[in-house]
Amino acid sequence: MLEAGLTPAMRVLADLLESRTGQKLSEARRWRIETSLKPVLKAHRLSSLDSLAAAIIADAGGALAQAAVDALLNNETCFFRDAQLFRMVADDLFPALMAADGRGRRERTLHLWCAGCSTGQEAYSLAMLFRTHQDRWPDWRLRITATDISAEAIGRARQGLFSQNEVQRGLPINELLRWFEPSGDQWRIDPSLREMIDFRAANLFDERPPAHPYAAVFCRNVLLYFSGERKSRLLDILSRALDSGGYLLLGAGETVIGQRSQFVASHQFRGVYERIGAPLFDPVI
Amino acid sequence: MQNGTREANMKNCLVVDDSKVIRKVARHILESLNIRVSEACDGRDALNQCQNAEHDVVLLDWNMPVMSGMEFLQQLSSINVARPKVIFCTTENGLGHIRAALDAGADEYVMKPFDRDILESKLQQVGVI
Amino acid sequence: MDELLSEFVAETQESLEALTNVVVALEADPSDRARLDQLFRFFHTVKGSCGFLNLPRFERLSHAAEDVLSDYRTGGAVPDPATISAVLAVMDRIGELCVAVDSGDSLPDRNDEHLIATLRHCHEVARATREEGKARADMSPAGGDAASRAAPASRTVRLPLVLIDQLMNGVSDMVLARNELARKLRAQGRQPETDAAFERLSACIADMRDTISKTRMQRVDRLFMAIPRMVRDLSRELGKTIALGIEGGDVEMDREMVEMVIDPLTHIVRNSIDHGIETPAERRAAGKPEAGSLRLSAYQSGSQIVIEVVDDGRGIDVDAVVAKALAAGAVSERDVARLSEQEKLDLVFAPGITTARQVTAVSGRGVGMDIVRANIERIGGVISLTSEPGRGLAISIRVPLTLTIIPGLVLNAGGLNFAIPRSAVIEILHDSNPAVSVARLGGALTATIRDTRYSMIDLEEVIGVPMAQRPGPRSLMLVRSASGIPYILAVSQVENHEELVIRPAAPVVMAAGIYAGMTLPDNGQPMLLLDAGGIAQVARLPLVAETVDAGAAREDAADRRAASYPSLRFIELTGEERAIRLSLVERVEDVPVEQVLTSGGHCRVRIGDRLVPSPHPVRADQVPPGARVVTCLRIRDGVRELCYPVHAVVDISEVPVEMDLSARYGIVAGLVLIDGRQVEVVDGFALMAAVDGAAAEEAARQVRCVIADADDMWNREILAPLLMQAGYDVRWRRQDEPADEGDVLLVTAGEQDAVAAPDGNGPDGEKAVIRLRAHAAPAGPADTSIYRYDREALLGALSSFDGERRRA
Repeated sequence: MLEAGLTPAMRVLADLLESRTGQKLSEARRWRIETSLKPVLKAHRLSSLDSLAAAIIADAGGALAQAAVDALLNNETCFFRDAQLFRMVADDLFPALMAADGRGRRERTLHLWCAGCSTGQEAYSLAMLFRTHQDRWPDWRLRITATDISAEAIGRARQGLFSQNEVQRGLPINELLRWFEPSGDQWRIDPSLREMIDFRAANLFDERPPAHPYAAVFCRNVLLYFSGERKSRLLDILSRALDSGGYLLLGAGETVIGQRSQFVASHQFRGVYERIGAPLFDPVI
Repeated sequence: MQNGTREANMKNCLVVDDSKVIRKVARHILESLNIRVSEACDGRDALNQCQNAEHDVVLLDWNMPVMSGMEFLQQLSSINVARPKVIFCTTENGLGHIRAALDAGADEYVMKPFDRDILESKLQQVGVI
Repeated sequence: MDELLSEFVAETQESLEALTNVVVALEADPSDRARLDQLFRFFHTVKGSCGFLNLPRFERLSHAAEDVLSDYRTGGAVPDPATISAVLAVMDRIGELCVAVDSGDSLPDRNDEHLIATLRHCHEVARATREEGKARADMSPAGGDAASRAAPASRTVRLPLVLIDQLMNGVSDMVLARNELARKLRAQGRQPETDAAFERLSACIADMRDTISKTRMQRVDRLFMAIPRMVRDLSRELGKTIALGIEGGDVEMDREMVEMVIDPLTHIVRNSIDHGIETPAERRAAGKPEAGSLRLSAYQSGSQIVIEVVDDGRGIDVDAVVAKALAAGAVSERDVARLSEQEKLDLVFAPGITTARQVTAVSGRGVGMDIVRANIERIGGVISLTSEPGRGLAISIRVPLTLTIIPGLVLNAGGLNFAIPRSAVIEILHDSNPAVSVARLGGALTATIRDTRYSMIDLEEVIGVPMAQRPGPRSLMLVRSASGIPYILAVSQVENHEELVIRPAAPVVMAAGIYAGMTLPDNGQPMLLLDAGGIAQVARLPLVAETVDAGAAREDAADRRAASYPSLRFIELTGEERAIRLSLVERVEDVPVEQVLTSGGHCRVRIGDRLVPSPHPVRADQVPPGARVVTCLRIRDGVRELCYPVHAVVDISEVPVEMDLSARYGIVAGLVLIDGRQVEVVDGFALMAAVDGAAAEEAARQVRCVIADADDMWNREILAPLLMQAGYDVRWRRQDEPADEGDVLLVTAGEQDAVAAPDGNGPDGEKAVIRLRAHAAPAGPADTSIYRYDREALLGALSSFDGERRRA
């Protein structure tokens, strides 16, 4: 745990992560790589990182490698991940979306999609953010659709129960006091926040165009799993789900550059992509 | 010179805990975050150190011999120095304790055990990193 | 990870040690909030640390205890003894787990849940009882202000003792360097500025030496740490009530010293509770308060720490001690008659004596105060007793403040200075003192001081230097030996008394067994510190302290004088006339001088094909010039055999069983007068024992080494001596001589004949062959030869043939 250098097993895992996702094993992740992978070790009855690394090498490209990558990434979820982004969302993006001429404005409802929401921290963070600043937009509502391919993750997200460790990652203590209640060893999020979110287990590629085009899609750290054709298809799907002039928010290392360009980098918001052109479909009412 | 500048820009954290193990863990994490660490083993010790040197942040245990974290926090304001950010860091994980700590002026609150992400996150919350 | 874990274990164990007192104190005064807080904090800290270390058992246990204690802290209620006991049990389990984690054993698999359940149950019961009580009557609120807070913990670091020792050695080296510099400066004449700077440097070094000595100091607290808990547990077990008082925990002493004193002190306290303090009923009957009192205190007195253990129990029954000592054969009736009361009391320190009237589970058979005393004396301490029968016992232990700075005596022998710990010396007299008479019995010296005869040895003889010729009397020091029987160490002069800084001497010096270290007195000249016990052992000094009571001895002797046995009288090579029991002597024969061999410190005589051990060598100056043979006594005790070279055989005489003078010295048992001549009597047992057992066994080997090439210089100059030294009989192979069954042939690999023997049999049909090669690396995987300088492999191979032979 206190070892700063990479062991050979960690090296294997770091290479795997990088080749699959383009992400470097960050120092933070390296530090708790063992914790992150513990469920994988347990599930595959492996005794150590070394045996995991050996099994991954033996089973190149198999399910085990994917499970390891997932575990390494999954553990990254935290509340208000990228605090700067959330500040920007509250101060600029929400007001801009509310000002935009579209369906949302008529209904005074912001429709957001968290694509690849894992255990729900991002969706809940958006909900908290929205409610915290409710006085800025007293007559607006927020509806979030949050999807993830893992039914287990969605189940946990729906429960709204988070461990002590989870509520300490990214969540300021005042937010904890305001939105959570202790429940045994865990913390339960305010049910009123849960009601703002529609959690669904779904494959992104099966996603049908939504009833409401979204004002913004949060699809962070998902594109990095895909490349080439599939990445393009995914961008198509995302763009179809967005309202005209809607925004796509990607993870820090992700970009749409080099892909078919339904999206252009926003001039207004750094790191945010704007959907251009008319909606590709007529919304079904 | 460059080194000197970087040194000068390093943040200082005082880790106050009667457990050497916890001080050690905290030190390791903080140093990996490029924070300079000093240690105190109780509130009185911490208070003395705060009088003699400026710290950007104090990681504060609750239950300690000689002087508890709470007493430290109450007396800290009477010291005529730039008040460091104070992050309580304790196994007292009840809402009551958290509220009491915040009322007494704590800036953040870490429930033990913590890991690197948690400390990093909390230090970000108080603007130290 | 491991580092953190061991840190956790160390921290937890340290806290546990510090806490035992707290628990006991809390039990005595359950309303003591400060102590309750301390206890709570311990579990809290353990729990907090566990989270980082994945120690679920620690976590569960500490969590449960923390829960229960926190209830008392917040509720203001006072914990009851049952709950405290349950908390103690949890602490103990945590301690056990620590030990297991530390040693890497699997954690003892016992039911933690049971402990936790017990704790919760006690707590529930106590709470229910409290509430019931409250309903009946409004109790006055407990407490008031918490008792004084714990002393502020000073900031500390943990250092390995080795590091401190290294520091200490470093400073000593610095002092030496300073002295050398001082000499150089003096040689250059006065230079005021340089001299001033040098003075400053000297002062700094002196300060540093003091400071570093202090780093080894530790509060005596640590010594007392385990006592309250022990008293509590023992008194419960034995159904006694004991009020324990401890004072002076803040006195400091060398930490190694603390370690050394812990065991003896524990033992004394145990004895006091078990045997000293009576049961409440007995105490009532004796008109004493039911609660016994046990008081431990420590204080500094000069350069010593005095630790006192005082109880108000039954004291020691001197008559019972005497009876036991008589029964154990430690003293004779005659001895007893002359003993003072205090001396009789001190018989409890004799081996095998206990004052326990019955054997109890606690003290067992009163494992000896002799061991306690030996342990105290080993560190230069002194233990003494004051007993008031029926009213109590006071035991006082005085130990030097530190092992590394001790009061010592500087003495001179053969023109060299030595030091000896002051504590080892009982008395110093001049040999000119009329109360002293020195006698030489054969090789052995004795000195009689005021009617007690002691063994005596000249220090010059021990260290092998000639005695310096100087006017004036020699100094005789009566010193303590490891066995407790003092002896006389004679030196040319005792020079002065100094505080000595002790540091370990070079291993080769220490290996001599007669030095305890080296010292650096203020003049900076290093001296060796003598180990009084070691000297007695190395010199094989017969340790006797006999009371010379001329009249009584004569009477006794008259009765026994009749008994006698036939002995062979002979003259030693060294000139003494001695006698040996005739029945031990098998025969007397002349042996060619060159057949008496000495190698590897063992002396052997070649008789026919065999090497027979001999108790001593034959030096060239011990036989007449030109003599070809030496007379040997062939001695056999039925199992062992030895060959005893002598100058000449004199006669066969009757030797009385009761010797005129019993003075053990080496192989000599004593002295008899035969025809007006002093004859030393050789003790057959000591003689056999003196011959190294291993050497005797080696001589019994049947394997004979046959070396193939007698012309090879390496074989002659190196191999043959090595084999002989290892006790093997060595022969050179002759082509015409057939090999014996037991021969091992040694050939050099590459010699045609050897390599051509694939089955391991030699060319001439020898069963066993060892091939030696000149190169360290084997020629190939099939090369079974042994590198010729690989001594171990060679001897190993030989001894495996030995084994085969013996089994055959």
